[in-house]
Amino acid sequence: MTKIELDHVTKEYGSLVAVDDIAIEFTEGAYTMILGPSGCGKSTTLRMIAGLETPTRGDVLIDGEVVTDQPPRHRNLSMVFQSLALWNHKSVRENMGFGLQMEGVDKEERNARIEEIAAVLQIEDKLDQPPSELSGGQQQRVALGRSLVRKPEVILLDEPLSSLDEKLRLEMRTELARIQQELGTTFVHVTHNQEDAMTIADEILLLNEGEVQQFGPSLDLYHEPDNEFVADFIGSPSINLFDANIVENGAVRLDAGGISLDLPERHRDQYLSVPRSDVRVGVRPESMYLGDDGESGWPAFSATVDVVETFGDYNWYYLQSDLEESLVSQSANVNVMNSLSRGDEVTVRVNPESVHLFDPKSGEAYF
Amino acid sequence: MSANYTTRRRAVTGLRFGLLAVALVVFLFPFYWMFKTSVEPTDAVYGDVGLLPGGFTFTHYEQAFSVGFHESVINSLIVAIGTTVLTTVVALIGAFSILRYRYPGRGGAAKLVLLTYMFPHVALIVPVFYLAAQVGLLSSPIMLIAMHTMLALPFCMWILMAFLEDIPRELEEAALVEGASELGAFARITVPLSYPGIIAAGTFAFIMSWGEYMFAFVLMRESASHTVPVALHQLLGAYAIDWGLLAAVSIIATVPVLALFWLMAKYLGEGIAKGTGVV
Amino acid sequence: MSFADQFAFRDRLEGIERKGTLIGIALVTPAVALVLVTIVYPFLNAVQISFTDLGTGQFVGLEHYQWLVSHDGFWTFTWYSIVWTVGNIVLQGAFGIGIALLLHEKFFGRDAIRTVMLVPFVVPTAVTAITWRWLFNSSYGPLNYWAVEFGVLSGAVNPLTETSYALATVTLVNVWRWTPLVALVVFAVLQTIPQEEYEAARVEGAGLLQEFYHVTVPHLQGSLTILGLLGVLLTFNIFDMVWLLTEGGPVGVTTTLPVFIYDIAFNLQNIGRGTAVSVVLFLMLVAFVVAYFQQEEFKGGTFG
Repeated sequence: MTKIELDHVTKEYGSLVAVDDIAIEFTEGAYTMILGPSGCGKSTTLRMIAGLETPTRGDVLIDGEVVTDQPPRHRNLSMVFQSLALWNHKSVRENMGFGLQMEGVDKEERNARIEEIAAVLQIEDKLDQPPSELSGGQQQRVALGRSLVRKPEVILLDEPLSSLDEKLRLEMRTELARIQQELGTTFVHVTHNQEDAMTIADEILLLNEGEVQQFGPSLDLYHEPDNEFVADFIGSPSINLFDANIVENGAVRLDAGGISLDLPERHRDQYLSVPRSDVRVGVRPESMYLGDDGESGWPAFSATVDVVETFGDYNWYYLQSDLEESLVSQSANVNVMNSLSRGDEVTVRVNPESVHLFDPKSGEAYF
Repeated sequence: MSANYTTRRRAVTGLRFGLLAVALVVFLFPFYWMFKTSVEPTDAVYGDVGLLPGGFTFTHYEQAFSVGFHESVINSLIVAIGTTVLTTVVALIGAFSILRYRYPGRGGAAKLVLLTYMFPHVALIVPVFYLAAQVGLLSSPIMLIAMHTMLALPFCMWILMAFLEDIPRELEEAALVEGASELGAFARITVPLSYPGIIAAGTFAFIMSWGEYMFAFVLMRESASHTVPVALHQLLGAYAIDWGLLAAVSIIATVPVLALFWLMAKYLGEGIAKGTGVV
Repeated sequence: MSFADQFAFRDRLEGIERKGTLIGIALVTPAVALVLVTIVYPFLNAVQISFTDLGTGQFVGLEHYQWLVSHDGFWTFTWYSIVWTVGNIVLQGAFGIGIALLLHEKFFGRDAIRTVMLVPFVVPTAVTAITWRWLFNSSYGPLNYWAVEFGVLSGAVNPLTETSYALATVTLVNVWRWTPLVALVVFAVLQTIPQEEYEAARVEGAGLLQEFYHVTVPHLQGSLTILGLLGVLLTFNIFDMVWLLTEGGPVGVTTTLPVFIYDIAFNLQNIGRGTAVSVVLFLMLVAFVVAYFQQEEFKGGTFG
């Protein structure tokens, strides 16, 4: 297992800062996702780890050794490319055996290892065809196989799932997670898809505009976002965000355009330590419930149903209320709420434990 | 109006085929005539004009052999193959360098090479002759190969850049992360993938070199060193022009490039389209 | 960027990027070296020779150039060169575009015709010249025979040896050789015109001529200005076709500047004057290119 470290890495292209001073240690043997919107510098970061780009400043370390100036071939890692980058002038076998050939492994052993991996990936009967004759999913497996066959310490994946259709993507996603767990190889996977990241990553590095937004276990990013960007980016549907004021009125409460939410008493001191009264409030749709039955201690407000989107086992409700022009909500207990439709008045309850407060200027999380 | 319109379009189609047929005759008839002359007995060559050969003989081809024309064919093969190999290699690595790497002077190098086809090459015949004489390379294929490579280089590099641009960089990067060096990835991935471009460039270089007259005429002074075009012109300068012989050597001079062109037309056409598509 | 950062950057150039830089420079070196050896050095050498008397090795200043401008022949030959170039470009353009338009619509056998048509361009110039000399031959050539037969001419004439026809004939043979290539290139440009634009024009009621004028012409214009420039440069410098057909004769009426250069330098053995003509020819073309780019449509253009 191998530890990858980015030591204050910056990459500039002329005046454009693609990656801005990233200092991160990836966990050994973990499945790490580098996540962010397009243009956030995630691919550049991955390519600097691979040795395909050189940082403008800072260093890349592999197992404590500075490899910044080393070409990719001296880094004992492999990479799966977004375009797959399979060589159609070579057979699948030659594609997969290329790395071993570069290492000088003899033909017999090469074939043994290719066939072993091909069996795992279920492409053993395709070995002597050119990749172009294979289906999209099979090509994906060949690309992965080419990386796995050499048993590198680190496998980098640059949006490997983006070219697949939805069903195949979900399948491959699960398979990637399974393979990573079996082999214990360090995976660093770049994606713009927060769902892929949340479902299979052990840890997530979330970037925006070249800067680290948050780095940590996936659930931390969901439950304890460091800032408004993280809260907004992670989770589907997106978190509800609105402006509010903190007022002390016996209890600590959030006051937003005629609607008040009483906050839990036991966090009172923390709320009161927020340096300003105007804040941004984030509440995940899955922390909001429709209907007034259940625990009565939760703050509630009333709203009108605007749009209902049904997914079968759950619904999304777009609501209109005084709180904000539009609000997304979701109900997990469909049985109760199935009959709601546009124009219905409904009571919305908020779980006060999962309310996030952010600085309205910097977006930093207070709580 | 629609009937009128359809008739007009039909008439245009008829006219189109008529004109194309005329164009084809204009472009091909001269070569047919040369071939016809080359297989006619001498008395028919100088006899009545008719569309079909007035008899059939290999005499002129045998004669071409006896006047030593095959020696110029060998000289031309040496020069043309040398030019083809050198041009293709230099153009390929040059195109790769300009497309893939960033270094000071890169733009200048690209312009220097690509814009030489705008240079008046005729202005070089005197100084190049002078240079070759100074370094003892008159009548040597080396100097001629160098000049021919210079002539073919800009277009071949242009073609190869167009082909290399279509090869995703990721294909090379995949080789790099699998343990190949930069040059290893170039040799194992880029070169095999750009073979249609290499064939187009090589074909162009060969055809150009085989037919090039000016530098060959100026540099290859000794008759033993004459290439095909120079030898052809030499026969034309004889006191009594033997048209049967001239026709035969013309056909001999044409067959190699025509065969090559025929085999590689697909690649050359693609290359010309790609290379000029940017114009 | 701090001082230390700058050092870090310097160090960086010792790594991958420096290596890439070195590989890049190494790979482009042969091409650059070749151009330096075969063009730049000889041409600079030529400039130097044009100011020198090679016999004595002495600097003679502008002597060769003075001879040149006072030499009537030079101006005549320059005029022939211009006639030759303009004639070639106009005719190649007209025929080339015409053939390209004939090929523009898809039909069975089009690709074969395109390939076959290139044959004149592939065949060595020497063969082309010999072929046409044989076709024009006044005693045994078919063209004269038929012309007389059908009453077009009263007696056989070899136009290559007639002072009044020679330059036109040489021009036509060269047009014959280059037209297929022009046609192919124009055809490639035409292929880039979206079919929808023609269909749109047709829907709007455009006839064939209007289609040509409103759709084809605007698309061709940009390419043709560049092709025209290249054509002028290439054609002005052609030596082989003229030399092989007429060697500049009869009585010099086909002596274009390239033939003149060869004549002075190799037949008259005056290297100094020959290089002076070369240098002047180069300057003429530079002046032409500059003037061409001064035209309004090239301001801010992408070429160069």
